[in-house]
Amino acid sequence: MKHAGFVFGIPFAIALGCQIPSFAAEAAASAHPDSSPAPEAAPATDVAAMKDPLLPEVMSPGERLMWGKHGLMREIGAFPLTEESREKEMGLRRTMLTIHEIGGFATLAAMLTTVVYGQLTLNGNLSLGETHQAWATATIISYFTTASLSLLSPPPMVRRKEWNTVSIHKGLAIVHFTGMILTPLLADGIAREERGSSSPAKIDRDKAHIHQISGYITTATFAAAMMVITF
Amino acid sequence: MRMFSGIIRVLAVLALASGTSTQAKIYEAVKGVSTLSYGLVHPMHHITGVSRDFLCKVDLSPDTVSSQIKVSAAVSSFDSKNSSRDSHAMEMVEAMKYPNVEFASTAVKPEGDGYLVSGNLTFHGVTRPVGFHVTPKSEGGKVEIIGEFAVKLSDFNVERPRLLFVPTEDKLTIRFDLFSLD
Repeated sequence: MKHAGFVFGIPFAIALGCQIPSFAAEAAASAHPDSSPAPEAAPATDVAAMKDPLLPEVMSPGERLMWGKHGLMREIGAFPLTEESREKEMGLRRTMLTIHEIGGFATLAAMLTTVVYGQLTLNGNLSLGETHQAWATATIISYFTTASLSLLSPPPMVRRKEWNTVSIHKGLAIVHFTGMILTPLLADGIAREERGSSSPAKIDRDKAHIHQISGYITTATFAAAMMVITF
Repeated sequence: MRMFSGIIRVLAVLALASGTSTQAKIYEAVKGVSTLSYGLVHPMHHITGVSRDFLCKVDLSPDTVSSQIKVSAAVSSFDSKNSSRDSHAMEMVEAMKYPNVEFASTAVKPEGDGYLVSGNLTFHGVTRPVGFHVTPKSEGGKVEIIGEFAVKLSDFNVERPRLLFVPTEDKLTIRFDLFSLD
């Protein structure tokens, strides 16, 4: 279970890669009303329905791999790239993201509990070390399950190259994801040393301190990532 | 003097003074400059989505009352500077099934410094009557028409978007700032 971070981290790492633009044409730059408008009337077109492409302009490598035009889901025939299928995908996406929101709260609660038990263990209550480990395991499972729900969800209907609260949320996710890999690894190193030591009750204070800082940074960035999200 | 000539121009161009013109005139909103926007409120947060790519055709009759105004905008053309939010909104209005929001006037009557426009708004496959006041202005060879009105999402069977289980308000404010050539 100590290596759960690596196992769950594979799809996460693929999907977290920087988003790249599709080959779709860029939307035409729009002028501001305050600026001098181009004195040219719109073509005399009848008011008619306008159709959009089925996939967004910008997709992450993970999304392309799973949901792209030739993605896994298209190739196995589970979700062909049709309007009907994309409609179903949107329902699936909303369900996955709603569970992602619930999972975020559950993970934060587990993470805070882990931090509290970890701090108590560092303060000298060594008997609480096992409880700390149990909560850490619960946090790892909850964290990577929650992350996977967002990363593996079908792509949205539109995604433009822009900077917004979701960009901050994703930027912070890179930090707390790194923390979720590093913190258990540091704990694993401490545990290995303890097992090989003649006095297992003693904690290597320096390593424990780094583990502690890593845990606090991870928790703080995780909480911040939740707070920056607005509708 | 300039203001006076502007007023005269609005009246003349829009042919709203009965008897000044006997021919219908067609105006189209200039794309990229004219804006159609919506306003939505989520607790402690106000959202505005703007479309600059929509069709608006005004078929102005000499008697004003029988003038026709048609507007059609793709739901996907609204940009709130957050594409995740735009995508969420598109899911809620089932943009695949109902890609456009449309307005067609049924009557235009002079009212105060502008006109009262009545018509039907079709959104999410539901058509409801709406009415709003518009104020036309004319300057530098351009005609600008500004107005706004509010509708309820529930009237159009649109489920309110939610974040962290908190839905947006039901009220949706629609604003327009249309530019056309004189």
